[in-house]
Amino acid sequence: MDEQAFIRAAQKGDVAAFNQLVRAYQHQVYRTAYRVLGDAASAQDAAQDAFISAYKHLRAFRGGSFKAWLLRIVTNACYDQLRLKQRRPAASLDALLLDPDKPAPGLDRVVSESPQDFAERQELGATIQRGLATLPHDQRATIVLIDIEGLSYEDAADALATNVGTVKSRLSRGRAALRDFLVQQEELIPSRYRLKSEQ
Amino acid sequence: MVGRKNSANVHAWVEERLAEYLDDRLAAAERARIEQHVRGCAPCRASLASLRWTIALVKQAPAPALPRAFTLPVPADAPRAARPSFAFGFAQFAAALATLLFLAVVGVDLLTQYGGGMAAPAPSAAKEYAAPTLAVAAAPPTVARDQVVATAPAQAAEAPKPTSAPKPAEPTQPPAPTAAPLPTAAPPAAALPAPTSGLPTTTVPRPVTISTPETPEPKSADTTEKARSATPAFRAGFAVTATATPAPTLTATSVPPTATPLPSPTAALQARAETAHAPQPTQVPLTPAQPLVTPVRAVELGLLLLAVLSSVTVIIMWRRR
Repeated sequence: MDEQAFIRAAQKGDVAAFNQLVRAYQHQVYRTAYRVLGDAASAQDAAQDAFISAYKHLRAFRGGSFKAWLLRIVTNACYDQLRLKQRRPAASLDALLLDPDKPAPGLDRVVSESPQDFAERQELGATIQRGLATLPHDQRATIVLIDIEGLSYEDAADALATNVGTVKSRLSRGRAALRDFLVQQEELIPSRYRLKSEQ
Repeated sequence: MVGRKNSANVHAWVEERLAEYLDDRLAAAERARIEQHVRGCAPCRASLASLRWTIALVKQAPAPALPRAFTLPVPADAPRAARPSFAFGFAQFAAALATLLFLAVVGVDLLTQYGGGMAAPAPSAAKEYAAPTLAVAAAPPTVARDQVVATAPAQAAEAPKPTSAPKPAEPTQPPAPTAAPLPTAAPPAAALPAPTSGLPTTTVPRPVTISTPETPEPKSADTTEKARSATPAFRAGFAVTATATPAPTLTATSVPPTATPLPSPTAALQARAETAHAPQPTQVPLTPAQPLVTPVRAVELGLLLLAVLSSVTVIIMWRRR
């Protein structure tokens, strides 16, 4: 059964068919939430909210990229979580992300990967996550959707409820800001990932 | 100065478009212009390289492990989401159809019986709708009996005649033909003179008891005699009517002997005299006999059975799903 068949069945109330779609996209949805929010607990909440919301509003899906539609929902769920955090600053995102001793939680270790490689990857992930955390929400979400999840500018604009021109602008400024952060933090980046100078 | 301004503007212009350049979203002319500038501008070249590195690094960033599955709980009755089976749909359709047909037939039946009967009490109507009158006539024996017992237990206990209700009553004998409460009854009686003449006094009284209050006329001796003489005549009359209308006569003859012990003729006659004027019952035996289960009733019963069965089937199938 292909994706469209699952979507049609789920639109008629078939939860089992919808769960097939969940299994296909839950990694991307959770990853997006995690990158935007920066902590696992909030990301779980956002992902779960996103899937429930997607199931409720599945009839409103009128074709196109189901992945982009899902990522738009999870982005909105992330914004909800961010607003929640702003109202309750006790669980500060920055406090979690800016702890240099705290590695990115729960990375999957590739079977063929050596322990050192796995540790370096974890380090890289933590640094990038801290860099993302320095960006404004809209720039962060734009980078996550386009550079990590691979959405087109148009799909990203749709997911972020804005236009392509704004997406270009946010992407350009966000990449530049993240680049500046990473260059500054280069000593925290494992050597094999560092920027090789042209000279 | 002008040259520096221009070059600063070009740097800014290039810097703004590096993201699109890296994503290959620029028109060929713009792309060529950027490449030309970058070749001769070290800072812009470094900026382009660092941006490319940043994007690659972000893409290499390891994905967080999925902490748990986000599948939704499947309700226990999930199969119910499947489309209903053909058999279930057919059973539903059959139940609905049978019920509708049953209601329609019953409705038409009721309309023709009561609606028509009440609206047109004319003799012709009485003939046409003989069935209901017959049914009513068949019932009276018991009702009349009860009433007689209730009003005059002593008399009723000795009631001489088994005479079921529906004997042709003669309008002449009862004391107060004028007091007769049911004007409609007169025409049928007149229309069917033969049996009434044959059975003058016979059994009229019973059914009439319902309307007793207005008929206190005594007539005692007269009626007793007539009652006595009526017995044989009554039986003869029954025989006569039996040929014409088998069903009612049968029931009439069978019921009385067991049910109504006949008191002394006089008592009975008194009871009758009170109730005497009997135009109403006269019409009963005259109407053509009809079986209890008419074709219409049979259809109604069949449809009712069908509706009930199909409804039960639907309920059973619904519970199983």
